[in-house]
Amino acid sequence: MDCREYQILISAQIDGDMTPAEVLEAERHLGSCTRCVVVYNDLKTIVLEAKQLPAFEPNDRLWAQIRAQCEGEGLVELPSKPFWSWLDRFHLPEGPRIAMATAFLAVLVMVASVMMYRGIRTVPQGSSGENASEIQATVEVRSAEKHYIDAIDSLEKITESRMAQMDPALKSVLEDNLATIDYYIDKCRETVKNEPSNALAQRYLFEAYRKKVDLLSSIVHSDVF
Amino acid sequence: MFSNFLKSRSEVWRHVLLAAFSCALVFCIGDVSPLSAAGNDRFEKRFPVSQNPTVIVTNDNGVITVRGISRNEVHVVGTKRSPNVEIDTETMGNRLRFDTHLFDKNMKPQERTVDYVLEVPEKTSLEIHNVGGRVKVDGVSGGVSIDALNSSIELNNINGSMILRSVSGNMGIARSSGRIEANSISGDLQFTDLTSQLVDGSTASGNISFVGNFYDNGRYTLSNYSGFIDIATPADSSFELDARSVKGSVQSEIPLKSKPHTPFNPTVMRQSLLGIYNEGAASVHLSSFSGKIRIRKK
Repeated sequence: MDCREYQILISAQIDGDMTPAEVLEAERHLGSCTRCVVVYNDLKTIVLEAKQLPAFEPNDRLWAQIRAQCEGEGLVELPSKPFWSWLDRFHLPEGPRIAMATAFLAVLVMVASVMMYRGIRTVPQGSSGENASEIQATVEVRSAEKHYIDAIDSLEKITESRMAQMDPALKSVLEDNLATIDYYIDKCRETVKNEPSNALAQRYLFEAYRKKVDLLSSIVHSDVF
Repeated sequence: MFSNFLKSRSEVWRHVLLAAFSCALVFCIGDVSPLSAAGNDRFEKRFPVSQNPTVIVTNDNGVITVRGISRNEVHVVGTKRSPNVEIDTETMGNRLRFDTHLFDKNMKPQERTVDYVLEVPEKTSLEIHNVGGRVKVDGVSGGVSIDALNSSIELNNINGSMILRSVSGNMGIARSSGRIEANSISGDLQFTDLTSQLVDGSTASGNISFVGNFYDNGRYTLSNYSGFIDIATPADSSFELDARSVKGSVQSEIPLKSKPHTPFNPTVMRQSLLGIYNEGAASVHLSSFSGKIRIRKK
């Protein structure tokens, strides 16, 4: 199975609709392709997060913009069926389906920017070339970073009230671990700032953001916390 | 006569007192039993299932022990520590769900405790959510997914895929095969004698220990931010190593060959180390932000 074949089956895998043979093939492919692992993890997160979103109705203007953007980017074929028709399988009312679709787009942008950042390769070209590539790397890292920071801000607002009602011992464990992640985010940012082309430091920075998003999402969505 | 009467009366009183004391004793003992039953209420049930059911357990605090058996039934024993919790069960076809339901969310952690012991068919798919305590699973092959906060995870002889997440609990996986995905923030990860070919372990501040062989065509990825990554592998292990650290160090005590076959001293502390051991049949990726990575012979 190659990346193209895997990506055709990815939603079936997330929905648990794969045959056992396909599961084996997919797992084999995931074992050798970190890029598809990233896409799989991100889509899984999107689907889980989207299921939890509150229902809201975007206004017509926003809806038209989303539609135009999707058509413009060739992401979807709108004429016959809306792109969010795949959400029909969740049997949700219109409001949550729209919310899920909007969230999907937002996170798609985030995933795209992260993948773009992962594609950054700085080639030493003498001092001016190095400076240019470092500046480019810094700009792209900051751009990708912004998506995570925005997501974290939104999640923190929701978790604040949830944590206020928690058992103090549990709250303390979560606060300690959030502080641990914040510590590493600071350390990684400092390193990336000093060494903009350090790909490993960049990877650690984004992994730290991702861990924070995961933990905050767990706090928001868990029934047992 | 009177003295006899007195004697007989005193005997009667003695018997009355003895009887009263016995009653009081029986009453006291009788009173303790229901209390202890209320304090340690036991729930036991058997569910006939197919050979590959899905079992979901959601618990707040306690020890969850799951063991794979060859019978097609799920046998659950739940022990509650407080009357303010109950165990909800739900069956949907081949899917069984056990939920600990708290009547009072403000209870102390000890009062929230429910311990579960489950015997399930070997091919069961397991999904466990546990906030605090411990999760132990042995001999299951249908896939295990565990989500824990402050709960440790201990898996033995698992032959399906394992997706494990903890915030601060330690994880230990031993003698298992199948894909492993283990993520924690401050928990330690310990992998012992695995036959898995796909292992992905990540923790932020925890230590990682891998003891055992790397299998041909396998891919092993272990990373942390700080702490120690310790790899102990037998002399006949065969792998290609890519170990890197941003601010920490990498040290190998085994003789790695560099790719272009130029000799180098692998025992020197460095921030990255790429090399081949034996034929390089497995792919091993280790990384740490500021921690130490060490590779040694078992």
